[in-house]
Amino acid sequence: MNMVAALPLLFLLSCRFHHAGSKGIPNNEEKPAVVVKKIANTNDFVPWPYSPGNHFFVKKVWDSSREEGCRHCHEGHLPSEMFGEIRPGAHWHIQMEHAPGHLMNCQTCHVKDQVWLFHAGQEQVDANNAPRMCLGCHFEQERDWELGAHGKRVTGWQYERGIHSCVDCHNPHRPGLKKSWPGINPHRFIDDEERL
Amino acid sequence: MKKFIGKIKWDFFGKKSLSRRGFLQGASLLAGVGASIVGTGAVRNLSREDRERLGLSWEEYFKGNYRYMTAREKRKTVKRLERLAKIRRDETVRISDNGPIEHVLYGYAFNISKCQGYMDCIDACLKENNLDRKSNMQYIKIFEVENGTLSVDRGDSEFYHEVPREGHFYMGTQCMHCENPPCVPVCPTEATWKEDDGIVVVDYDWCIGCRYCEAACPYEARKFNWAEPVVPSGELTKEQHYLGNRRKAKGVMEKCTFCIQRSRRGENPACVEACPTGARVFGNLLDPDSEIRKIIETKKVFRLKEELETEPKFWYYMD
Repeated sequence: MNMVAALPLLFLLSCRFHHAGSKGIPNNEEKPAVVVKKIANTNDFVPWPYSPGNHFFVKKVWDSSREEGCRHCHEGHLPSEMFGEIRPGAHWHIQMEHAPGHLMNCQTCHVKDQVWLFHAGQEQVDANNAPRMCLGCHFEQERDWELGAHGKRVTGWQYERGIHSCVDCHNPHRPGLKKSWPGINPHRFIDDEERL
Repeated sequence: MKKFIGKIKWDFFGKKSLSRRGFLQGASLLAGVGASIVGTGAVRNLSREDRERLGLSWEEYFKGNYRYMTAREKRKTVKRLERLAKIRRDETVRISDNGPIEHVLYGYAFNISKCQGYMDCIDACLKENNLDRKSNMQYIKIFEVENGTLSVDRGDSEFYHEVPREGHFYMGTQCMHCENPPCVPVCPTEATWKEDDGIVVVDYDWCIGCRYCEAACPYEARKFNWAEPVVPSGELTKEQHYLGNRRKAKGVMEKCTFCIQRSRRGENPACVEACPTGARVFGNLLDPDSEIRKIIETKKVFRLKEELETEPKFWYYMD
């Protein structure tokens, strides 16, 4: 008899819970069905391998098929253009304004006669993983950059997370941002009758 | 047609006072009759294009509130508006009627340590949203605030000099898309409301321009078109949304919509995309892995005028 009475009660209870679930009220156990779109142009990004558990992509700095990538670090002048051939020592035009000279010099990131970056002088790092170099010292920015509070997202909010590399905004040789005029004048257009 | 007329309650001929519903039903019937008159060529001495334009304008004039339209009505009004843009100004625009995405609640974060006052966001916003070039309208304001104070009241939003200025920081304001938007209940025509994804929108064709919402908004987010907005055809953004960046008329209210035409496609608002410092973050508050959620969880955040309990979905944070 007790069983018979309990059955409708159970049924009612199950309906109630089902109803609350179907309304999509977010609670801690239930993760809402979030749709994440794939990045369309995967050639522009590389997956970030250095923080397991946090899956995101970093914008490529260079690509063997694109020359502008080389210019990015060589600051406009490729050694082959200056000397007609590639040879070492073609870095006279690069100015360093990063850290005081006794803390940092070319060898902090580069090793003589090598094209790769070298983290702590040993670990070979591709330029597309350049943040690996920066985050070695800038550990305070590391967390912010990895979670999204520092740096800039390039992909749309619904897409896989693809973010700028450090060197997209900061020139590694002179990382400070420069002063400039605002992109727009708040008093614009008012007297610009002709244009409209 | 007979069936349709039979369905209408002819209340307004009876004893009862004229109800809104009854009026609208009558009006829509009138609109249909008018359109058929215009459409069948009863109006003479007009070119075919003029007749089409008049017919479409007539139907547009008597359409309902977007919020209560069926999907079919939405599609029809969007088609009419696209055609009218072509006839009136020879502009090929695509107007979207995309609805909210499920399990999405938009949120925005602004880093006051990073913003340098370059105002690229304002530039991108006015281009994307087809804002009036003549009255200098802008949804976004960047305030230059002296260090040590945290008040936009003392900030200067009309600076034009080399930035960043020593001893100052920059703080942007725009529509905060409040969860309890004070601008919504004051609207006498229900022309503004909060969508399911949290975006507060305006039906520009239903707005009568009373500006109650402007008075109610504590963030000065609502902008009024005092004159016919001027946007040169060459500078017009063609990808539009009914509730977003389509051309507005004189005497209507408009505001930031988190670039509804972009965000509902999964893209970032124009201001986020344009910011050169990465001070602007946009995302889904219901997604625990989104950047915006991680910022709220791990950084020092605050919101403007929190004591008003408007629950803005716009957080300020600092490094």
